[in-house]
Amino acid sequence: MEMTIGEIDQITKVSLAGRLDTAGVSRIQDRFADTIVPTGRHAVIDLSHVGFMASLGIRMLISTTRALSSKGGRIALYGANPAVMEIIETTSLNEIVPVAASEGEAIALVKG
Amino acid sequence: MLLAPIFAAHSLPAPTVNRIEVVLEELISNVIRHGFTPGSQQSLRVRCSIADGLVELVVEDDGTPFNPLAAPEPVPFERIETARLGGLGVALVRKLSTGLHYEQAQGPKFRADGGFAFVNRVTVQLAIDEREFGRPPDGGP
Repeated sequence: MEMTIGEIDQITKVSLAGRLDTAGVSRIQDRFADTIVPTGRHAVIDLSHVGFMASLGIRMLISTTRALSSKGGRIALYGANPAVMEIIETTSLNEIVPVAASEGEAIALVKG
Repeated sequence: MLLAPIFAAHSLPAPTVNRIEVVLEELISNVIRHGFTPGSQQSLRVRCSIADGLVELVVEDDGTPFNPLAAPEPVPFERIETARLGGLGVALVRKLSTGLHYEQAQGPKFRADGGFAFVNRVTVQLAIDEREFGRPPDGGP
């Protein structure tokens, strides 16, 4: 599981690559939250290189989005492949964390 | 994953393979979290059979008796501030499967000749079909 951090227009961009299973999440979850939450800035998460997602991945995204939300920041996801998108929709994560088709759309969503 | 050659031999569609992987990830991580004592010599066995348009997975372990299906149905998400963080895995298994059953072995467990005697057994059925991604089985909760 790999994580790359960038910035676009004062928005944090985090690109994830690998499997968001138990092992993958345990490897990155602290760094993921520590990168996104303390700044209080909006963030977009690129999932286009995530090949697999299970419930711990969903949990990580909820807890980080919630923590950022308490500081006034918003998160949007984008780039999910069909396998990952099915899990996002089956768990209804997309009802509480916006999911966009592209990076541009994700940025527009967090800017509001 | 170790089962990949079996899936390939049966030409299972990609969505079905992904659902199997998610279900096994959830059930096995549950056993390790709730049923196993760190440092102990405990066993977990997964069996997979494919017939009549169904995949049946049986996950057995000899750890602490634990019924993962006893948890109440989680409350649906409304707002990020109040979204639950627990119980997501079992809820996901319920939605992806067409049948789900837990059984606990009765009586003392034994290990004759080093053999395996289950304490917990979870059986899951998943439909094999050509449905596209993003459309969970009809009739799921």
